[in-house]
Amino acid sequence: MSGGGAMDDREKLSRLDDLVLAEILSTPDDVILAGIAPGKIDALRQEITTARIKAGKGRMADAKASLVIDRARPVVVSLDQARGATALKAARAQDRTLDQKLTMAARSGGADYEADRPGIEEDLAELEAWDDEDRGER
Amino acid sequence: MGPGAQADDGADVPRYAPDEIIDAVGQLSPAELARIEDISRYFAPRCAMQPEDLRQEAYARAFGTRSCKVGTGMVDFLAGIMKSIASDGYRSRKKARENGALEVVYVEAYGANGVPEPAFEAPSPEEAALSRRYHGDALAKALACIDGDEELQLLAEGVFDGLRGKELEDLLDKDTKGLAAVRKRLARRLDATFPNGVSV
Repeated sequence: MSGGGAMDDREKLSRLDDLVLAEILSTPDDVILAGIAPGKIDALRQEITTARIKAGKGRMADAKASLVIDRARPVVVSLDQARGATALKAARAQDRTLDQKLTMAARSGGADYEADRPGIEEDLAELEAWDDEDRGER
Repeated sequence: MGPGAQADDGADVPRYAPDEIIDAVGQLSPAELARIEDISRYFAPRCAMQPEDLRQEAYARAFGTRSCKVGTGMVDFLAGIMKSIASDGYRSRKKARENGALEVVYVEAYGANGVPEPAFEAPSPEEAALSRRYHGDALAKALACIDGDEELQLLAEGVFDGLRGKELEDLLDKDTKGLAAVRKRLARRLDATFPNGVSV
């Protein structure tokens, strides 16, 4: 009666399982509760609480691990951008007017200035690179 | 979705967030909890686990790795997870063997009620072979419990052949009520085969 290949047996078993599950799920509440020992429902609820706490701890551990990995990751700054930042700092130190303008821009529209800053630094880095090339050609 | 079906088919259907699943499971009624307990007792012996351990594993998967379509009942969802764990039980047994650990085996009434004496189970490297043996053995145990009951055997054959409703009524020569009674009898026989969980 149980003949057939591997998939057959697995599928047959699955169909029997579904029949049993359908019966359990359709059994009236009072009948299914009649087979439960006193205090069992509280114990079953406690199991869920335990599982919920374990899941919470697991999530917390995952979050901590992600934080540690994130903190351990080195901050990578491209050489060009770093060089541009140095050039911008130098330019502000040399040109008081430029420094004041950038300071005012930062005060009145901080977000815009901060958004523009990498672009300014990149432009300055590019200028520095051209200067290097010019010096090399001479 | 039928009982025990996988809850994570398809990619574009809305899913419950993990917190929604946790909240919904936390609000199950006493009758729903009793059903989960019954289902865990049914599946636990197959995967050589204690019912409470199977429930914990199901909750862990439900609260962590499994997704659930919006609209699926939590008892259906958990039943599907337990069925899935039981269906893949041969993997944990294989792992136990590979780790050199003691394998936990459910010991039924060997040699009685048509259940054969235990045969030596040589570990196989092929998962397909393991699956074949695992599911073949489980099916043999299930069928052993209806050995000698022609009506239940006939219903089982009809279910295996994918017959439904009226087709099953014709096969068994029953009306709708009569078929429901035989289905209930088969389900109870199968469920009652493992009433106390796994013996270790």
